[in-house]
Amino acid sequence: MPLLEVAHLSVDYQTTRGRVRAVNDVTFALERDEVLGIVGESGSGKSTLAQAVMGYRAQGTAATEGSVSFDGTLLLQCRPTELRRIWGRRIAMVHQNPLASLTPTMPVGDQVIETVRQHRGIDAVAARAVMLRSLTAVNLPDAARIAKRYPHELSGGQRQRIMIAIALSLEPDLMILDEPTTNLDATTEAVILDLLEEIKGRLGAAMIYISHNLRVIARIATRVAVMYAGELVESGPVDGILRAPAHPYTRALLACLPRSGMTKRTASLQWIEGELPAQHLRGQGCIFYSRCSARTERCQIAPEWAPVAAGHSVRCWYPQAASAVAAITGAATVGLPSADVVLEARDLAKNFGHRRGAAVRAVSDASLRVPRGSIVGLVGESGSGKSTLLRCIAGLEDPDRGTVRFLGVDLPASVGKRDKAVLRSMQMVFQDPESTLNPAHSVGISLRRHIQAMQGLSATDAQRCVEKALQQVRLDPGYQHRLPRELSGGEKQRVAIARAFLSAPELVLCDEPLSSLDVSVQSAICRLFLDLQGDDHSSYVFVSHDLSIVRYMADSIVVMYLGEVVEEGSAESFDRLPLHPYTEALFSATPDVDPGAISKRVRLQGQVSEADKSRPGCIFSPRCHLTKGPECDAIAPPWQETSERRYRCHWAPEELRALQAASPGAIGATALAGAS
Amino acid sequence: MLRFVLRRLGLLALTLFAVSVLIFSITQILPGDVATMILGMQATPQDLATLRSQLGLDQPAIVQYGKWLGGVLQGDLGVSTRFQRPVTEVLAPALRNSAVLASAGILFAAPLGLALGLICALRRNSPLDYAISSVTIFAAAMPEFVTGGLMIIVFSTWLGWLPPFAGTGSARTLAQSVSELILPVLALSLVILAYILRMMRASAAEVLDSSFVKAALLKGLDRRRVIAFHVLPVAIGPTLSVIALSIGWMAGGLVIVESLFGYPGLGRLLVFVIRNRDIPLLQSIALIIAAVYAMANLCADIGQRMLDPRVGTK
Amino acid sequence: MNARAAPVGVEVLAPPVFGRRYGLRLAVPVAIVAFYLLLAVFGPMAAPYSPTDFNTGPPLTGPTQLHFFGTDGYGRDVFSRVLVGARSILLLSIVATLFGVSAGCAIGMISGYRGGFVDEALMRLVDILLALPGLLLALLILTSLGPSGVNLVIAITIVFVPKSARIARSAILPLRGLGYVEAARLRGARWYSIVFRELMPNVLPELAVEFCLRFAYALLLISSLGFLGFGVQPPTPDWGLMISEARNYVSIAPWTVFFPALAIGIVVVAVNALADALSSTGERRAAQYL
Repeated sequence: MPLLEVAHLSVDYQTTRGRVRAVNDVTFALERDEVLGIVGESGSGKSTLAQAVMGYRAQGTAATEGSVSFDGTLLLQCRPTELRRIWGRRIAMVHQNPLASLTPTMPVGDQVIETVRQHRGIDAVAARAVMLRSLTAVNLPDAARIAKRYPHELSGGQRQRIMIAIALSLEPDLMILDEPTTNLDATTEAVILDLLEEIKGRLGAAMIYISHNLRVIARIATRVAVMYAGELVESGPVDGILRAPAHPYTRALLACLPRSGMTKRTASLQWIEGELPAQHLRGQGCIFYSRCSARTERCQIAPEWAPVAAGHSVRCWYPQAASAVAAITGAATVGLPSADVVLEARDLAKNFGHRRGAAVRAVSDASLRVPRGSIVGLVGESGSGKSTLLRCIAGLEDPDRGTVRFLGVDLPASVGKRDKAVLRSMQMVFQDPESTLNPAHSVGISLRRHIQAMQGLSATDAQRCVEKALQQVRLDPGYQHRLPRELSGGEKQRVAIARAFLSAPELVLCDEPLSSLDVSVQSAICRLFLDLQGDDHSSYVFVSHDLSIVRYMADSIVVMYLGEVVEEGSAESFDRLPLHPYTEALFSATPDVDPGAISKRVRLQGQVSEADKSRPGCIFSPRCHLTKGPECDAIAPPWQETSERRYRCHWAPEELRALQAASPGAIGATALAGAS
Repeated sequence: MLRFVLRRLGLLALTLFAVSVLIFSITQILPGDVATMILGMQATPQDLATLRSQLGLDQPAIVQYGKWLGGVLQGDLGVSTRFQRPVTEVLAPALRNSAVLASAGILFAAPLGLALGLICALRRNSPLDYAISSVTIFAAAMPEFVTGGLMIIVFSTWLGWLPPFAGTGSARTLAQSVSELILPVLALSLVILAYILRMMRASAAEVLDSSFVKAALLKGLDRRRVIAFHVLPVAIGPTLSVIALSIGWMAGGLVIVESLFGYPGLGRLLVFVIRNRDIPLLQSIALIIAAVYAMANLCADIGQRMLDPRVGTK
Repeated sequence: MNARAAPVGVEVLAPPVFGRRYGLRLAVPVAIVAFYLLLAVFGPMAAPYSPTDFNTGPPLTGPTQLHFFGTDGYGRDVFSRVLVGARSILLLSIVATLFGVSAGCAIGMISGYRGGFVDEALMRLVDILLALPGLLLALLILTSLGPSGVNLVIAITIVFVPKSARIARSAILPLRGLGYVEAARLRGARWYSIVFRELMPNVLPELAVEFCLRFAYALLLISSLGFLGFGVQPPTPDWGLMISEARNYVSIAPWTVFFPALAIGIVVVAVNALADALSSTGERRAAQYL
């Protein structure tokens, strides 16, 4: 008998606008040793599903139908007291956003202890021993010290380990992990995933792992269920789903992801047209009907589950119709970088005041060159100063030192002192689509105001300009009259791009413009950026923490760590040449979606620390897995130059090449052992 | 924590200094001549001049202020011009009376407000919540002399249960004193009770909706444990500052309530002092109120820090 | 990640919140406030007696058909005095609130957006003004300026400016670094354009609530000052003053206290209820007006 059987589960919410069905007719079973990955984009109902599976009725739940049977107990029929005996002890949940999910006023150790005592009824001393054991089990060294800390005093990775320790402490039969690594840096995410794999082996607990990220699911899950608009559309073993996806949605989702080795010159990304259908627009038929490129009349009737292979079934009338999906092809007109330089930022430094006596440096002496017609990708983890560098270039932040030379002229530091011609030629696209447009103004007003401020245009000229810009970003002119709240995230970002391109800029600074968007929308916006660049021959500085996107889009890549540029070079050279140890770790932390792809595991020790900035030697050496010797801590590393690349390290290129050619397992193992 | 308290105490001293300057400059432009007020219209110019130099009124304002401040720092609040007695002597009984009234008010309003606020948050949108919430809208809006006046009509005039005046008789039993205090305390504390309750309800409701309470429940913890250890410490924090604000509000309430009930406290003295332009006494009363208010705010901040370790780290 | 999913919450502990009977919550206070505004305009015309005439009937008679609300100690008609009294208090409250809230909000928004030294200095000044409870500050200002309608407006404006400035500042602060503000800076917009054209429209709902709460507070302050004898001066009828004059006959003529108290109570509650209906988080904000 499976551990968990979910049958025809539906969850309705009562909202101010009426009833909304968040989960519809979900059926699946989970064996005792399985890791089920549930993948879905935002709004697919996967978090609601996770809660409903536990028998938890979230606020505003109007009705829950169907049945959930956990080890023979029907959870939906349980009384609260019965549920409390199961929650925590037999089913444990790890929530997304651990900072919000840990009680801020209680030391983290106590939060483990109270769970243990609630279920085991043991005394405080014994519970404390269990707590210390669980903290050690999640690789938190010095558990006694960490147990006394409050959640806000820990790093994101440490907090998530605490959440996992709470879940582990009672050795549950089932762990439900709801986006546990979302919002963590890639290197931290990789370490947490390692930990979960290790726990899975040791504990033998079943897991449900929920994520929007197919790469993560591919790494951790043994079986995958794909969720779309509240329904499961496909489910099967991880290899089957990734190698031979049967549902058009799964196939399209996989085609949205740039694979390793893919660049804008060699392949084109797909995207899924349209948006997740609004509740009232969902018909009786297939839930994917409105966006499916292979739909037929038959699809207006809801399809049944059809088996495609052993343990692999799909909810589609055409389970084998792989070729019927019209691939959206045609590479973007890719702009070619030329020799002359649009932007040259030299030795920019920005210091954000003092915290506890130590100067907090966001950017220290970073330089950046942007050749005309090129895309420069700027990568690094949070706190690396990549956004601050961008804002210093834009003049939104006054740098303490350094110059910005743009189109052959040195610019005033502050945007307020730059003349209109410069403003027109340098524009920016921001990260958060929710705040990029003024919610009080319609799209048309926002855009017209923007262009009229920079260019003395008549009302009709401005109007024409706005319509043209909307057309460029593939939005209907009718969108002018809409308010931002009537747009989806992707549409808002399109309008923001239209705003940046109104004045035909030479340089567009993009500050993580894709990171808040779903994969299927992301690839469409990515394509839009490439097309616009091809048409206008403009240049981009493209900041992202998503390496696969940057490797796909950029002509050259700049890697930042703790406010310093540690490596830069042409994008294709990053596949071949030796890499700065930090870059190596960053790249290896991004799992590939292709099953079986062997990736070298380089894991970083410790965490980003402001204190490292004031060190005399290399800022990265405290976390480096390839430390050369005492000089790393004492002497600032020199720039090592090769034809296509330069990086700051004490290792020369040949030495690094030899080191990195050594067994990946060995490096991974040593680094893993010390990882925290 | 100690550094925080010391820094805040320093800031408090600075604020009080600024307030004393403010009060002094306001009183400087008061119309009317103090000497004339004391001696009456018939006084000879000679007498007036003598009194002025006695009181130091002929000196420039800044010198007067300096002298006054010097006295205050040595614990000498000066001499009341109206009563011709040391300010401390006039103030002491009024201060004691007001302290009784105000502490009774806050001791009534704060615990009740916190408890009812939590109950309302736990039973959101139940008939009980609607009833309490509607009553608080009324209670929070009404000026004290209106609620006080209506209560006098109901409880003294119609029902005859409680006396309409307070603190007037001389030989009184304890029971009499207590029954005299009931109406003034109610009138004084109704508004702040409503505010504390509403704040507690809002902040507890917010905490109840938070992810960490959901996480605590999903750990299988007892409902009572979740409320006591996960909801309350976080929810009370913001309410503490409202309690501190209530103490400031009560200073105004005291003026009204004491005038309404004829209660011999600081508030009624203040009105008397303003009418008679007794500047040393006025200065002292205003400064005492500002100091109590500032101390209340400081205590609230300290309490918030002790409850929630996040406060002050951002 | 789940943008469309319903808010996470705790039904196990507390039932859901939904705005029930929202229309009614807005309509009733609006109707009452409108009625009072009508009173302020037409009250004197509707009054059966002159509010200042002595001995319109025997002193201290209870409500009769001639005197709906009875008469006071001088034989003045309480009904007429309540009707006529509406004008001064409503007019003064509205004017003082307009001045105080608009000046305060402008200062707060500019200070909040621009930040830096000016912001720091302004906020310290606000702290000092707020160190004295509102009624006390108003009392002090009124005693130095002397009681009159204009001075009442000045005093209340001074009391309101620092409070409104704080509210507006904290409303602006979280918006300061948002994308649309940065975009405006990138097109060369100046600070005043950003504050008043980009930011203000987004905080208007909050400012409207602030205005309502302050208006209620102004009514309360003016009537309280009137009660203490520092507000509107006789012979103009004033609700607060009427109560304090009638205080001594409350045991024999409760109507002389009851009707003016009711008149104040209803309008203050209505304005508060209006603010409550306008803001979803009214409770939190309401606390700031203490």
